[in-house]
Amino acid sequence: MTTARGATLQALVLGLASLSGCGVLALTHDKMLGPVSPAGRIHSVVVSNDYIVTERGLVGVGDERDQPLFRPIPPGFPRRYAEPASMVKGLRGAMAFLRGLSFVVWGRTHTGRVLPEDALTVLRKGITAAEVLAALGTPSLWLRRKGGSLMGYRAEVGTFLSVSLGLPPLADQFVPIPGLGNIRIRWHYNIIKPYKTLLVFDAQERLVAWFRNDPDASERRLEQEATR
Amino acid sequence: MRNFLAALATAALSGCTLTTEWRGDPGFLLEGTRSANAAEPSTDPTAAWEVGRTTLREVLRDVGPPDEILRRGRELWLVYRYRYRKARELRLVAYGGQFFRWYDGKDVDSMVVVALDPEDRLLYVGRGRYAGDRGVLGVLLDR
Repeated sequence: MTTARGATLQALVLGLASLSGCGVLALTHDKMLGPVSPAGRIHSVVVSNDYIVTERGLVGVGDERDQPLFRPIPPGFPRRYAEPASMVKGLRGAMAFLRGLSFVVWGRTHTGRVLPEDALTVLRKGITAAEVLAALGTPSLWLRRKGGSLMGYRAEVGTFLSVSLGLPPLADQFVPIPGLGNIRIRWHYNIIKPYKTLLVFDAQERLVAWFRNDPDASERRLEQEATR
Repeated sequence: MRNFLAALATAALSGCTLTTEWRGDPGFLLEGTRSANAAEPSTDPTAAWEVGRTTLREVLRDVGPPDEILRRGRELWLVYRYRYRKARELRLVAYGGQFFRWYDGKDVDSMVVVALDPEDRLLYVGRGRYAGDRGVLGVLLDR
């Protein structure tokens, strides 16, 4: 009697295991039949749709494009392609296209905020980190060390200028004169300067030193070295 | 004759691209940029650096703030980087295909890593493979 009960229990456990979301049968069913199966995706129902099991444990699945089987269009197509992030990407693509067609392109790029000179006048030894934050704003980095901390502000300013004489890249394809696309002279100049300020605090969060770079002085110095 | 020379000059420059790009502050590559007194002769600011003695503040005083600060285990890395590219290129294209290309360029990708221990004292200095020959920190690296 006991043996019969044990065998039944074992069969039940095996059956449940084979039908569970992570079982071989369930995964094979999901892979082979997937969305067209009347049972749907067993693994998604059991384990949930938002996680998959990897060697690193449970990992969230945030991208709906990971489930594209038998779908005529990607899931959430109108919503995803109408969201602002997609608009920004489209705008960047259009700008790159227009730049390719333009004879002269000049522009500046900014990453971060360059600290103004007058803001740095508040810096003096002994002021607290709170006072620095109030005067300079949020830092790019604040790193605690054994004997104090480091607070860094960083910004990049880029300047680019491109001058192109000749037919635009695509236009020469429509003019049936061989070699016409060769008649093109292009001059491209791109400089990205970092503006860095690093403040050193002691263990009591009092400012003990600060350092700032001057990329313009370095550039002048480099030119002097090059012409020496 | 003048028209011929103009046509010749145009033909010589056709398909030519001149590019100048740089990114970063090359201050850490230049000797003596942090000299407090401009009247003093240029000196290598890292010449006085000593492993186990030189402090974080002395490094910052000599070569300025880094581009990146990283924690690597118990070490603190100050990363300085400067990239420079100057190139001349000539391409001849016909029927949508490129049949000649000449490129003359100079690429410099200089990176210096200054490692400090938990007490903020110098452990070692590493330099990227393509660092410029004039890197002031080469003095330490060659020891």
